[in-house]
This record gives sequence, structure tokens and C-alpha cells, in this order.
Amino acid sequence: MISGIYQSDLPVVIDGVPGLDTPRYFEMMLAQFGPDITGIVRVYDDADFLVPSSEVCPCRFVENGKVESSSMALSFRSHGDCPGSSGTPLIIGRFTFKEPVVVDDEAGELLSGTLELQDAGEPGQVDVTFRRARTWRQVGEADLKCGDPLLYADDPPETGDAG
Amino acid sequence: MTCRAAFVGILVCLAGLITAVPVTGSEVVRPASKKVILIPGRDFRIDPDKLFFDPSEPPPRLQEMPQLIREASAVLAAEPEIELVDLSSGQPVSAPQGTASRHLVVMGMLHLGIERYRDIRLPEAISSLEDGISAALASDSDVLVPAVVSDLYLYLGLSRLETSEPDLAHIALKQMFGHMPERRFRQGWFPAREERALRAAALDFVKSPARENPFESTERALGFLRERGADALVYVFLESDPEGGDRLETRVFEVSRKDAGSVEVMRDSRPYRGVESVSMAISSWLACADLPSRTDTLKRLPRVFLDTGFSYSMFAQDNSTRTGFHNIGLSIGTAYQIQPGLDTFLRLSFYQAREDSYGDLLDDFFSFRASIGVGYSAVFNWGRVFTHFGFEMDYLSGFKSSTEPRCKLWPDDPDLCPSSQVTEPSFLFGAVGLLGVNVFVSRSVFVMVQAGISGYFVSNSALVDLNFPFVVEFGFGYAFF
Repeated sequence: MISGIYQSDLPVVIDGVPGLDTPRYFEMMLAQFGPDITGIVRVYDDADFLVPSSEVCPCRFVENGKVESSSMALSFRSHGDCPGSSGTPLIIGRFTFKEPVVVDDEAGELLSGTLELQDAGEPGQVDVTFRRARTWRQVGEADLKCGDPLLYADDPPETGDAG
Repeated sequence: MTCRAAFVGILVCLAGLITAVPVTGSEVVRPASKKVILIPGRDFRIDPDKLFFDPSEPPPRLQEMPQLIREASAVLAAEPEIELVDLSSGQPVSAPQGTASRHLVVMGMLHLGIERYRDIRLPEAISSLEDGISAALASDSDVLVPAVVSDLYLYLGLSRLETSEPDLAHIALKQMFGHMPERRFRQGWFPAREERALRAAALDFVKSPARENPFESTERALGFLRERGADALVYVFLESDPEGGDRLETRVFEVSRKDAGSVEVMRDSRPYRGVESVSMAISSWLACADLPSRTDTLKRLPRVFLDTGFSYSMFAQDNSTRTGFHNIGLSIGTAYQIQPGLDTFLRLSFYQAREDSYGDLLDDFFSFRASIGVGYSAVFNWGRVFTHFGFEMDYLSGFKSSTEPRCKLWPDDPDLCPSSQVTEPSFLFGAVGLLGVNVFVSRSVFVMVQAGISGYFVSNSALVDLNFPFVVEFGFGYAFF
């Protein structure tokens, strides 16, 4: 089951997306329901995944996540799902994975694949590797909440860029 | 013409044969009856002071018991469903399995014993008399011809007196009274020692309780009835009431209908007021006796079936989840057999839904299903086969499903999971059909297996989401007759 929190091994740069065109660390909280995947993609500035990126909307809901055999595809909005940022282009992720030999020994489980901006074509693909940091049982209520409450203030930002 | 005549002749013969069959079948069938044996009665009213009568007077004749027995015989014979075998004459009767010849042996041993007693060959006399008593017990002569056995004991007692065995003589003489209490003796016939012994035995006998079982054991009574193929035996005796007056005692030994290996004893005790007393006693028994016409020959089949067991159900049409979900629970049901072939039923089931593999069920929930209706059921000795048809109501407590993954992760967030994406049927109503079988593992306990399917036509939500649940049940039950 691809459920849990996955973190990128290396910083990711996606050209053409404001705020993501500089190195950021991606964290994906994924929940698998049969063939479906949903979850949240968060963006951090540091490799320790402690400081949410202040320049982009840190909250992105997974859309149209699908699992088939040992591959997975999902998408999320390039500008995030903060108020006012809907309708922006999608970033599409395609990954392959390997089921752990022992169910609870998931430290070595990796998602290897690419991220690309919608309609960017092959030149825009970025190779990424995500490593599972927490299993689903270790996911708490706070992990299911999207973003900083401050982002949902009465005066939301006009764009996906966090103010 | 010859061939045609032969053909017609054959047809006529065939027609005759066919019409003859009903005639044969319509022969009068002898009604079933209860075979009852009447054995000699006894009059235990002994007055030791009147044991010896004056030789100048004729011997007293006790006529009451023969009258009572005649009346008892008449009452029994008047009952059309009683086949009376009257063995109350006290005379040797033909009996099965050579017991009649054994009675001849008894008589022979008695005569031999008397001869040897008179020849003062006392040990030989005692031996012969004891052999005679054994033979009498083996041939039931002690019950059917008690006078002969009484003679055996009389001469045995007299012999024992001659051999200076007064204790054994006392026992033998007491037994003599037990078999023929009406016995009286001519005064002066016996020497004084013998008269004293007879009087002492009579005194002892009077103080002893009356013998209400002439066979001494019910096992022997059962053997007697079986040997003669009888259902019951009637025994009447008179005794003195300690509070004054006389009592008529009636005992009926009857082969038990519940347990053919035992005998049930009917006891009737009433003040003796002449032959009417025995008539009333016998009639009283007849009034409640299991006569063939009163015997319930109908094969009783269970009327009420109560069962409980495990139940599994799944909706054959399920558009709310992609893989369907299982319901496991318990059920309890009852069926009442209105008449052969027709029954009515009520069934209640409680289920707990199991999470489906895709997690489309947003939460576990329980459901309650009730069905009621009628059906065809065939009840056999081994069990019951039934089909039930009726109405069914299914209450789904907290059913919520969605195929939208966000609704599974954030079911309570209306922004992420709009209500339009959640299916929430709670009441379903429709018809049900069941097919099942009950197999008895004992007289009343049975194993139940049944399967069925329902179709719903009313719901608080779209019926296309959830319909046609099938059910399989297994359990145990109890049948009430």
C-alpha cells in the first residue's frame, strides 16, 4: 500500500512554475484506497522538512491519483490549493515503486519517477526520488490538514504565492 | 367370431378382477382391541378365630369373591374394545409355550408330596413339594391356580412341623394363606400342634400387608403379559380396613406405552359395598384406559420452529462500492406451521458490515433486517424443507459510501467531499424469497441451513445504489410440537 508520508531525497526545480523554479523539497502525504490515491503535497525550503516554503502556497491536494500494478500517477496544482490559486496548471507525477519485502519494514521503500508541468513535454520532466518517511499508522490528524491557518485568513492571497 | 368371443371373454374376466378388488378391500376390518387378562381374585379378610369350623356344620363357602370376579369379567367383556381373557376360574388353562404341561408337573409333584407325607417319608415329601412350588412359579400356577400352590405350601408346612422345623413350617403356612386366604379347616381334623401352627400363621398373615402384586415383582408381571401377548392384567382382592369395614382393592398391571419394557400399575382402593364396588372400580379404569379408539394415532409433527444462527449477506447490486461489501451477523427466526404445507415466518437479522477492499465504505455500520411472510413447507420425520416468501425491511445504520478518495480521507469536509458524492441509504423495503432445510439431530433440535435473495422497491435513496441482497444462514433450532 502506498500510504504514508514520502519526502524527496533531493531538492526539486520545476521550471516555469513561480516559486518552484528554485530548489524546493517536496513532501507527499499519500493515502491509497484500492486503485485510487489522494493526499497532500507540501513544499519546504529545507532538507529537514521543517520550514514550509514561504514563497509558494504550501498546500496542494493530490488529484486523480491512480495506482496500477507497480506504478502510480498523480497530479496537483502548480500554484497550490490555497484560496485563489485554483485553475492553475497541473504538475503531473509518474512513479514506479517496489513493495517492501516485510510490510512493516518500509524504510527502504522508494517512489522513483518524474515530475513535469502539464503540457511541458519530455524536456520539462524532472527526475525525482521520494523515500517513505512515515507509514500510514504514523500519520496524524495534523498531517491531514492542508497548510498554515494563516493562509486561510479573511484576506487570502490573490495568487498561489504566499505573501 | 371365436377370437372375438375370446377377446370379449378376457375383457369380462379382467373387468371382474378389477371390480373384485374393491370387494376384497372392503372386508370388515376387525377393530383394534386391548387384550386384558383377568386373574383369580383373593379375599384377604381372615378371622383367625374362625379359621376352624364346626365339623357338624357344612364348611363355610365364601361366595363374595367369585361374584366380584364375575362382575369384573362382565364389565370388561361389555367393553367392545377389550379382548377379555378370563383366567379367573382358578382352573388350569391352556397357556403358551408348554406352561400347561408344566402345570401337570406341579400337580404331579403335589400328589407325590402328599403321598410321601402320608408315608412319613418327610425329606422326600419336602423335596417333592418344593420342586412343585418351583414348577408352579415357573408356570405361573401360583397366579392362575393358587389353590394348588396353597396345597403345596400346606403340606410343606405340615411336613416341616413333622421334621421339627416350626419356623420353616410357619413360613410355608403363611405362604399358604397368601395364595388362598379363603382357606378354612375342619376343627379337629389336624392335631392340636398343627392347629396351633395354622392359627399362628393366620394371625401373622393378618398382620402382614396384603399382597397387592400376585407376581411379587413387576418384572414377572411384564413377562406374564408378554408371554400371552396381553396389554393389561386385572387383579381384584378384598381386605379388612383397619378402621373398620372392608375395602375392595383393584390393581391393573399394564404394559407401559412410553416404555414397553416396564409395567404401569393402576391402583384403585374403595370401601367395599358389594359387587357395585368392583363394577365402579373397573369402569373407572376403563374410563381412562388407553383404548385403541382413544389412542392418538396421528403422527405428530412439530408446529413451531425456532432457530438462530450465523448469517452472511451481500448486495448483488451495489453501485455504492466498487467491490461490494460483506455483512456478517446473527439471525433469529421462527416459523409456525398453520397447516400441513403452509407456514408463516418471522425473521430478524443483525449484521455488521465489513470494510470493502477499496475502502468505499466510509465507515463500518450495522444493519437490522426483518422479514415476515408465508411459505410452503414440507415437514418430515427427519426435518423440514421450506420456501418462504414475504416482505422485508432493511435498516442500514450509518451507511455512507463514496468512490471519491477525498471523501474517504476528509469525509466531514464539505469542500473536499460534497454530499453529492456520498451515498447514504438508510431504509430499504421490498420482498424476500428463501429456501431452506431443517434436519433434526434429535427429536426437537435441528440444524438449519437456508439461503435467499431480496429485492427492494422502496428506499429513502436511489434504489440503484443498493439492491438484491442475498443471504446464507446456518444455525441450530428447536421445534415445538
